[in-house]
Amino acid sequence: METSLPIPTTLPEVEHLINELYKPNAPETISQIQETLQRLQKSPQGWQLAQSLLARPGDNIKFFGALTIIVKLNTESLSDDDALSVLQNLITWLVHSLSDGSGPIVIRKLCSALVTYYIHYSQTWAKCIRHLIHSLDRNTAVPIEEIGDSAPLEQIISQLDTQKFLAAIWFAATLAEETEKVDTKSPRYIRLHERVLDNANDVAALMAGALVPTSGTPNIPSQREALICLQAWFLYAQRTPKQPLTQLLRALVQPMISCLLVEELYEIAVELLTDTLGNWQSFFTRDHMDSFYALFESDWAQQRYQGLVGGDFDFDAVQFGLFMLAFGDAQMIEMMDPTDTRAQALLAGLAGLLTSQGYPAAEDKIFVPALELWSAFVENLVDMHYSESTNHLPWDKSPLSQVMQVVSYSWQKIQYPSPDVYNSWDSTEKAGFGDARKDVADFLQAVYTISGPPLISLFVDLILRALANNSWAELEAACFCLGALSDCVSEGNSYDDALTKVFGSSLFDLLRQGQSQVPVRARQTCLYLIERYSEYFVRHAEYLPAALNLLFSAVADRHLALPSSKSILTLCSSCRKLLTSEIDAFLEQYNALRNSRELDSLAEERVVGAIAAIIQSLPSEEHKLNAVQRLLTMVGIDVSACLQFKSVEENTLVDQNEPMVSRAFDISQRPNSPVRAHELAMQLAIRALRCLCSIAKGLQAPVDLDSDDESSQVDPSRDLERIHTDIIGILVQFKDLFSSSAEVVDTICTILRAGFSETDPGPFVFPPHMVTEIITSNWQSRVATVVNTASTFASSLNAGRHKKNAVPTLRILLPWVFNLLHQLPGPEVDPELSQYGIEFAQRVLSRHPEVLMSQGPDVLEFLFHFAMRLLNGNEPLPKAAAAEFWAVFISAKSDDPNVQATLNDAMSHFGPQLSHSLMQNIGGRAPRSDLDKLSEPLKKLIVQHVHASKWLEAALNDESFPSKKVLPNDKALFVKKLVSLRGAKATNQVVRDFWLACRGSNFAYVS
Amino acid sequence: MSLCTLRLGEERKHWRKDHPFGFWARPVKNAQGVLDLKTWECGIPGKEKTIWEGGLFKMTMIFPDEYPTKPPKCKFTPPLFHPNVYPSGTVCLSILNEDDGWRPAITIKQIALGVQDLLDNPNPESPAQAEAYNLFKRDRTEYEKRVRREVRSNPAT
Repeated sequence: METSLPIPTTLPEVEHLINELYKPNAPETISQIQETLQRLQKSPQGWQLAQSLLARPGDNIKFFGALTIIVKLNTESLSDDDALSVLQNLITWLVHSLSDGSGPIVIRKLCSALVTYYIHYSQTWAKCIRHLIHSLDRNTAVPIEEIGDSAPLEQIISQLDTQKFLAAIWFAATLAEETEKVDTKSPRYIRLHERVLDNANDVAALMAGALVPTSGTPNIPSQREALICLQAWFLYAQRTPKQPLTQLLRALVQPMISCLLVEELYEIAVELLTDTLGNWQSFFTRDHMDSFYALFESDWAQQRYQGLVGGDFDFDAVQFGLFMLAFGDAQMIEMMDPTDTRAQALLAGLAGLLTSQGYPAAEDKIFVPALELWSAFVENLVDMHYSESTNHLPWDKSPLSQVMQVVSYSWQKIQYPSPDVYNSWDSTEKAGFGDARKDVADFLQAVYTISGPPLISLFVDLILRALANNSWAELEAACFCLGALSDCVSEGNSYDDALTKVFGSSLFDLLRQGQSQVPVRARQTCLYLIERYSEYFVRHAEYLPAALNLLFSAVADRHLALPSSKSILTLCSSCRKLLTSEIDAFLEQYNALRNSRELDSLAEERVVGAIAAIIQSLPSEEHKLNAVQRLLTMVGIDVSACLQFKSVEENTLVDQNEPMVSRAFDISQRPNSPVRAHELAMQLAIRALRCLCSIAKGLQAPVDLDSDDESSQVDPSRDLERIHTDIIGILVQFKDLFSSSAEVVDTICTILRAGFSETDPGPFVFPPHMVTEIITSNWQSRVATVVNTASTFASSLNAGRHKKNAVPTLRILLPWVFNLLHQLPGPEVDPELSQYGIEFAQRVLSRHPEVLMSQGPDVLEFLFHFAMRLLNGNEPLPKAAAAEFWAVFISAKSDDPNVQATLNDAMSHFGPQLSHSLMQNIGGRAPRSDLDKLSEPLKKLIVQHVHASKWLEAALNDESFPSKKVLPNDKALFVKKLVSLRGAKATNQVVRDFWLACRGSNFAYVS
Repeated sequence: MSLCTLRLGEERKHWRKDHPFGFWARPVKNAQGVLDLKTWECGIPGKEKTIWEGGLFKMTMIFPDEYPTKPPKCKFTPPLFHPNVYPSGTVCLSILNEDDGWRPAITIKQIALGVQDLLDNPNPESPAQAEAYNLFKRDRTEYEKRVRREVRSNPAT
């Protein structure tokens, strides 16, 4: 527990405490002291205390005195007369402090106190700057009324010594900083800004006093502080734009530019000018711009520029570059004009910034900002290009020639360094370099908009040149750039001839020779290039084999496995029809790959998926089945191995060097000690299943394929039936052995689903009875996933050739699902199963109400109660599923009068309960995010049922209604609104409003 | 120019000058190669030291005409395995909800960071897909396994 210190009663005690406050004490001691001193400050004796402290020696003591005045001014309200005497005192202390050796912290704090005074009592101190300057000059608090408007201030300012000048300029700077923060909407401060602006002339004169000295040598400290003050006034003027103030500040730009040339003032001046150019371009006049041009053309600027381009990335040097870029940004329009020679020279200089020595981001700190300017410039050109299509700019002349120059510079800059250099960078440098490359890609895309195909040709030529010279870094960068342009050229084939030069060159042959020839990074980028231009290969099948051979040769390389397998999948999938004749070669390639100990599982899945896509396109069923069989045989090797390992004694260990271990585990997970046989079996099962899954997806007919032939109604061939039996056999075996693994269950279900959406027969389009059989068999875990699969299966039966099987299948599946739900001790025990179970019932209800309603009365009773409990529950997804179930139920219709009668009876029976549940939820029980879902059954109820309003009113007026915040007439009005909306969309808003009213408005943003 | 495009122009400028580590975002180009400021593509990297580390997930931001009064719609393409991502890929996040946490002052950078944060901090209060939500709630080991698969299929490099 903190104990408070006794309040000191004498001045020495207070001084002691203040000194302790600034000593390195324990945090709790400091906070105790602080708390005690704050109590003193706020006490009625605070004024007295401040006065005494300010008269004592010691900077800390005086500082604390000034702070106390600020606290007092901020917390107490004084009459104007009392206030004025505080002002007189403050100025007197300031004058004294300037001569008694007080440190800057005291002077600055007194200046802050004066500004605090001004904020609260500006009406008593209209000409604050003028008055303060006069008082400082005369070393006394001059009576306010003695200060006239007319007296020439410049004269007095020039007489002030440095200390006094600094005090005045600190006050002026703080005045801008602090008043800018004041909320002028408050009536008390409404005229504050007007009064501040009345002082603008005096402030400008003060700053000019240092920045434009009329005689003698310039005073550097005064100039520095004047620049800081100017910065504060720039910010003030931007927030509170007033023409006279802006004019006054404009007059100071030229002196500011002169400050750049003074070593000690450069940093602050360059930052101020850069920021203002960036944030407030309209501030600068034509004359200012001329001065900037003159500056950048001067020897001084040329020297700085050369330093930067030569690789000097010190703070000052980079600041100069940013300043130049800010000026370039302000001259965008001028730089687009080829006849403006001065602007064109600036543009050339800005292009030159991209040639600085060093790697972007990692070493060269100006590249990224410079490229950003160029991107903006090109976008401006694009805008102009599209708005004034008559005004074509010639490519061999500036500014477009400059743009092409920048393209050439940036391509060179993003070449990777040697691995030694690259590896010596830290992660930020590496990422920065990577980001810079992406910026270049963006830039090139923008340039393409105005350049068109010549940009493609440029990089094609660079690639060919690099190939001829074996310059791998150049090759990599040029391929990267060409790849970046693939997004722009996806329409049409006007660039194919250019690309053929690359893809028909020796590039692929060279890359196939592997690492010994071409470094891995260049190979990676080349593979990426193939993927980016997969459309090209669809049009140019003659280069497809070479590309695919190359990609296959890279799959077994662990660095290239993922990008190359991705490209294989993309290419095979989009060029499937062109590749059918090569199917044998693909199967052989895959067979060979399987012998590699390094074959990555994800890469393998993509490869088999790619091959399956080609199989899908084979012209005859016989070919298809034959090819699928060959794939299955290869997968079967894993299946057999898996079963063999599973059949041995559970704890048997297998040596980690056994070949199947490398199929069970990817390199990164490979064990370095013997592994349990059953674990090995499980991993092999997963790998085999994932491959099957990939094959099943690959065999799916592509959506955009023009299907000129109607879906065939022929029965599956014997061969196909045998394949069905084989695959289902594998799935059943794995299910029986491994379905305690969630991954196994999920993958089996994904394999089953892959066939549901297919219209034609196929190896993974199993007959409904097979699917039903495996679904309703015994599963060791995650039966919810199986029920969810059953839902999708049920829906799929509504379309296509299995339509006739729908009802018989549902008559088997429905009792199986209900039985699972029935076995649950309660819906909350397995919310996932509950959700999928009710979704299944809802799907059956919406398409085949007769199947659902023909279940026994006990079963139906159970189902409806179950659905009601879910609606009343707190689990969001089952609740939403139940809301949907009820919405479907309310509007369910049947042509069969008996079924319709059962539906009607059930509705009359459950209507009041349903209304009760909905009103409980909408009355505040449900989270806000569920309201839209809950509105659906409510809307249906209003539209479909004559008794709806009666039921709803009863539910709203029930004792158990969760909210006391709504009155009976609010409830009546709510029902009236619902009824009058007749289920329209606006119901949702009415429901939200009512829910909010029931919860009370405090809950507005709690969902 | 409309308020919407003015603001998006500004957002673009800000993003170029200052964007978080490992992210990318830019407006797409239409068939004529002209920028469509109202549709952005971006890459959301998984945070370091989380199971999402190493992944980079592509997301599209679609800005309505009423932006910034109304929030953009953010959609992972392809849809992402995550409790708060709808099967369509649309992200369910309070700051992207007009009726909830959206404010016109929210920047694209903040959205991108918000979505990144959501990756490893799903909100179990508003599930958007059953699969990821149920695994997240009931089988964390399997959930993490699935996330790692997503990361491997969407590598950052």
